[in-house]
Order: sequence, then structure tokens, then C-alpha cells
Amino acid sequence: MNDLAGPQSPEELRDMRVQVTGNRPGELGRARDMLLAEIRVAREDIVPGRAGVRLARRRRPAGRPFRVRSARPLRSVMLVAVAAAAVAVLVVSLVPGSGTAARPPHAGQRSPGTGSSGTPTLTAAYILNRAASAAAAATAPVPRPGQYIYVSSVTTYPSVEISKAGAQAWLYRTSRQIWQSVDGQQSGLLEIVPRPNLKLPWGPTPPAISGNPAGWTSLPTLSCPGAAPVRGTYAFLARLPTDPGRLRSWIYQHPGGELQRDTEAWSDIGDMLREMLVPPKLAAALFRVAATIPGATVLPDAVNAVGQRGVAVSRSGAALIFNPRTYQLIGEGAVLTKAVAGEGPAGTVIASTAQQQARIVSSLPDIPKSQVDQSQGGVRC
Amino acid sequence: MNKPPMLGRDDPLPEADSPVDDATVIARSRVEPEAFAAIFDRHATEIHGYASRRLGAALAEDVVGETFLAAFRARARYDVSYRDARPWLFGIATNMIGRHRQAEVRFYRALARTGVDPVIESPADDVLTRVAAAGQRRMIAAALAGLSTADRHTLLLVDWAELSYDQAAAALRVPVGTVRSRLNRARRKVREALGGVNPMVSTEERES
Repeated sequence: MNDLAGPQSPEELRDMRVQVTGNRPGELGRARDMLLAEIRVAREDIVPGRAGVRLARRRRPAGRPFRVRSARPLRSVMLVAVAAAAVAVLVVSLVPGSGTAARPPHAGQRSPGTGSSGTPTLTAAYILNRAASAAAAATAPVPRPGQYIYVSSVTTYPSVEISKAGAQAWLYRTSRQIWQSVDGQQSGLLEIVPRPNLKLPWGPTPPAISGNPAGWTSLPTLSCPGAAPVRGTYAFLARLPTDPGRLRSWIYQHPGGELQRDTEAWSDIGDMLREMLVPPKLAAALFRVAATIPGATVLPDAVNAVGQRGVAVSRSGAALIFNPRTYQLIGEGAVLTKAVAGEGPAGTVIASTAQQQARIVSSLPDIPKSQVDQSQGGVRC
Repeated sequence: MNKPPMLGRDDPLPEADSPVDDATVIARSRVEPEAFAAIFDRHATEIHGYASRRLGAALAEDVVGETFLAAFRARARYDVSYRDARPWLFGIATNMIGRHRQAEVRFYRALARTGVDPVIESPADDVLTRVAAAGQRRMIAAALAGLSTADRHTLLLVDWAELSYDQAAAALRVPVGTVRSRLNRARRKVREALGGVNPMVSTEERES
């Protein structure tokens, strides 16, 4: 026997496996349904563009039937098709003059051609650099290890129902409160409260409020004591360079996902700004880096999820919305770049968020454990 | 009015119907969770076959369900530098199978004792080959029952899941050298079992 190669397995061992054929996906209905149910819940709470999962499951009283907001039949071929369409074709068409598509009242932007803004010469880089200057002039408290970043926000997303009649959509809204451990070493907490649904101009009248009851979810730990800070925590952001040139190199060298380079950089910047108290110098540098990314356009009359008007810069369907006077970030938008069945024509602002408060707190609110859905996972130290 | 220029033509994203690798689908599923269903459709059959082989049909579908549920919840942590999700999925499936360790060992022992393999439907062509094959299977099953859990996971990820050494190392989160040494040990034991030196079988047969 050749010691270097080591012993080989007898052919009969491999044959034992070769002779067993697994069931096809369609024959694994129970396993598939488990996954699809989880997917549908996740869709409720995910923030578009977020690289991580912002937690899914809501607490529900024992014995109550499980309801999800997007009541999609379990037709995953359709689900995948819709998902692929929504993501794969994000190509922004919003420039002054393009705003002819009907839009939901809360989230649309008026057609700049007819508009009142009087600022058609704004460029994306100008807006982002103004935002950088505003951020650089701001001050923010610095948290200590063991503390939490608290952020409250409102989100609006499409709820799509697919039936034989085709896809129909409306917009559902939630209020979120999130407590994130500064260094990721403690569990965080998330509360989601459903808000009244909104009708799309071309969609059906939605139920007033639908889906799961309000609920608390514990967020998993992300990091161990002594370990380097991980992405998604304040501690990680605090270590990034605040020089725009160095930050730009870092962002392009450390993509958080797999999109095309510039698209990924834009998406990663959005991820770093979302539901976070970003150190002002870093926020300024992030906006300056964003200003260098080619391909962003201006939405002069954007609206965030609570109806505040702003000026937005959008790239590949992902928009940052700023207060038009102070240039503070007031939310995000997601824009359909191509007509999507049920959800609307190209140009529809199909999702938006509004960040309301961000501050440092020293402890989590005292919620009885029985009311908190325990998250899966978390690091083991 | 002029047609507005379409942004982003210079950075095309994959079209819905073009083949994209697992890493791309999983990255997409972080934004659009539904995309993850494609991962199930691509790999569930293989995971089911593997789980059936190790645990029998009764537990296999549970393992498939648990595996993809856990994978979906962990998708944010998936390392997208692995284009193929098989090592990751088999790693998770291995953990799920590991929870049924006693059932697995019972399954092999029953096979070693009776020679009846409930998950193989089409027996070999002729009676003589079938009997010979059944005899070898009994000895192999006995050897598998006698391996340590870590050695068994490693051996079967390579020989049954058909992962490379590197992929098995990633699935088990051990260095590739560890995979090599575990494989050597496990394969030696299986070979010894086939060579007729097999205390497991005789023990089992005395018991039954």
C-alpha cells in the first residue's frame, strides 16, 4: 500500500451511496414548506440592501395560527422569478423629466419637469458633498463598550400576492426600534410594530392592517470578547479610516457582497449608514466616497417613509434621501428600475425608510423574556 | 420628451434566467429572501440522498428541512468566495445528521446484522453478485458503526457526498491535514473490516 496516498476506500462503499437516489425537490414538500414559510417571514422584516439579516421571526401567542403578511401561495417558482426580476433588473431611470409614472402618494417624487424644486442642476456629487460637509460639522456622542446604539425608524415595503389572477401588491409599513450592542458582544433587541397598509394606485385596496402582531426579537451576538470588531457593529465602523481616499480604497478592497464593483460599494455604504449612529467624520467620508461612485442620479423631490420631502441620490435602484436644507440623511428609498408585475412601472419608489432617532443607551429595555422571540445563531465564545 | 438614459448599463446584474452560481444567489437572498428557494431546488435532492444513506428514509426529510432552514438563517454569514454552496450545505447537513448519531449507528448495525439495506431499491443484476455485495455491505456497515463520529463524518463527506478534501475541510471547519489523517484512519478500518477482521460483526451476531 502506498503510504503517501493512504488507503483507498473500497468501491463497495461508494456504491452504497450511488445506489441511493434522493427525492426530487417537488417530492420533499414538508422540507420545502418549512423553508418557504421562513422565507416569507423574513421578507417582512428585511431591509432592502442590508447585507445582513435583520431578523425575522415575530413572537406569536401560543396556539394562534401563524400568519405572514405577504400571503403568497407556496409557488416558489413564481417567488424566485419575482425575486430575480426585482433584484436583477435594478436599473435606475430617474432623472429630471422621467417622472411620469404614477407613484404612491407617500413615497413618490413629483415629476421634476412640472415641479417646484427649481434645482434641476443639482448633481449627485454636489448633494453628497453637501451631505459630507453637514456630517463633518455635526457632533455625536461616543459610546462605551457594553452600551447600545438605539435607532427608531419607519419602513415601507411592498407586499406582493401572487394568485391565478396575477401579481397584486400594496405597501405595508412598520415601525422599528432596534438596540444594537456597540461591539456585538451582547444580544441586541428589535421591536417591530405593524402600521396601516397603503394602497398602490394600480393595486387592490389592502386590509387595514395585516400580518403578524407587534413583537420583540432578541438579536444574536456577533462577536466574542477580545475578537476584532465585526461588520455591522459600531465598533467596526469606529476603526475605519475617515480619510476619504483611504476609506474608498478600503471599501473597494473589502466588498460586503458580490455585486459589480461600483454597485457593491454604493450598497455597502448604504449598509454602513443604515440603522446606526455613524461617527460624524466617518459619515462625512462615506458621503465623499459615494460622491466619487459613477452613475448616481438625482431625485429632486423624494419622500421618505414618513412623508418628509427631501432630495435623493439614487444608483442601481438604491437611493439615499437627504433633508433639502440641512443635508442630513433622513431615509432611504428603493426604486423599480423596470416595470414589475403587480408592483408598478419603472420609476416607482417601492420601498422607503425614515430614520427617526439614533442615540446611545446603556441598557436594553426590560421586556419579559416570555415576550421576546429568541433569535437563532449568534457566535459561540 | 427624450427617453431618460438608463442607469447602470455599464454594470449588468445577472438576468433572471441566466445561470448564476450559488454565491450570487445567496448574496441576492440577503435582500430578496425568496431567491433562496433556488438553493433548495438545486441541492435538496443530493442532500436528501446523502441523509437517506446515512439515516434511512424516515429521518432524511427532516434532516433536509432542518438543513435548509439553518442555511437560510445563516445566509448573512455565508462566505461568498465559495461559489459552490455544497460544502457549506453538507457541513450543515452533517451537523444535523450528527444530532441523530444513535439512530445512524443503529441503522448501520441493522444492516450489518440482516444484510437488508432498506434504502437501496434496485439490487444487483444476478443473485450471486447480489449476495456478495450484500456481504460486503454488511461488513462495511459494521465498520461504519464502529468509527468515531468525526472519522465517519469525514469519510462519508468524501466518499458519499463526493466533496474534495478541501471542501470537506471547509464543511467540517478543520484543517485539510486533519481531513487527510481522519480519512486514512477511517479507510484503514473499513478495509480491515472487509479483510475479515471484524470484531463488530461477530459482536453483533453473538448478540442477536
